[in-house]
Amino acid sequence: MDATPRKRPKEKPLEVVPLEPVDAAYGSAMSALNERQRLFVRALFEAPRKHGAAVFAARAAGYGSPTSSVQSMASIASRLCSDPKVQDAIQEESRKYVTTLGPMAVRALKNLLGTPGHRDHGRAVGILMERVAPAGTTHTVRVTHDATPSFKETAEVMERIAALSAKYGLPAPPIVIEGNAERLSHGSD
Amino acid sequence: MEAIDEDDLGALLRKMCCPRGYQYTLVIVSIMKRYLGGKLPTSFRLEFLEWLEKMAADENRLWLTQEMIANIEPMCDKGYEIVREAQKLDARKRLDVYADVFKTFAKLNPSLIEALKQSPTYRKSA
Repeated sequence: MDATPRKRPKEKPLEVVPLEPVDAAYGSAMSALNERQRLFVRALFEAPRKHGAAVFAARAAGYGSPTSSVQSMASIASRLCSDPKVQDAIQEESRKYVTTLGPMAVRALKNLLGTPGHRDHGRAVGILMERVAPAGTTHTVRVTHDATPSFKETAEVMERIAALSAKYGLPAPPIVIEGNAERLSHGSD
Repeated sequence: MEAIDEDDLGALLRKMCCPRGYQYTLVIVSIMKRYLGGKLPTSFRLEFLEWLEKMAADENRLWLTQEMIANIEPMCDKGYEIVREAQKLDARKRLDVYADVFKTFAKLNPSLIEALKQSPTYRKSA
């Protein structure tokens, strides 16, 4: 068996295209960044593929120089990604993207539903039905108040004692808690 | 309840021809009521109360009524000191002691004489 780890095949470096300026107002996390950091965050979401996206974003944002090596660009990208401010901005942008991807997802689901021959057509129908008419569950809870014989007996005894005490001119009996007490030590005792 | 002189008590008991059994029974009732007035496990409390009930309902003991028992005051500390001494004797002799010193018990707890006066036996003769 070959023990040497398999090397990832070399990929063609991503072609960096300058990002177009965006007029939309940024969120609080994005506003806290400088212009290059903002561009880096935006470029992360627009990288054409997952592998090398951070390096692509760093280049797109204008970090390094045209002659900077991939390693030095990776180092710059790593430093940017570990910056808490950048991380907050990535989170903020991710929420925005997920929201805007909603209509696309609905469209895809619609296409899937319109293709009965598709292998995932049934799943799509299931997903839709689950949201339109969620399965209802009915719980029937029956509560029965059970007065155990001992409880009833105690109540009867106490009632009898009270009645006899009143009959023979005695004060109402004090409540006596019967049981064993155990002394507990505390601290360093 | 006003205190009664011991001689007057003796005269009264002689006049009533009060049996010794009546006397120690009343003393026992006052002891029971003392116990019932304090802290007592529920089972003992019920047992003592049932005993009082049985005494009042006993057809062979018509001289003792529920009202009499209700009007007897619990025994005081001084009276109970005598009881503690008597408890050193066996049960039969103990009852004799209660009857022997009934006058002292009655002086300490006049409700015993008042109860005796309420007895149906003495009401008829009064």
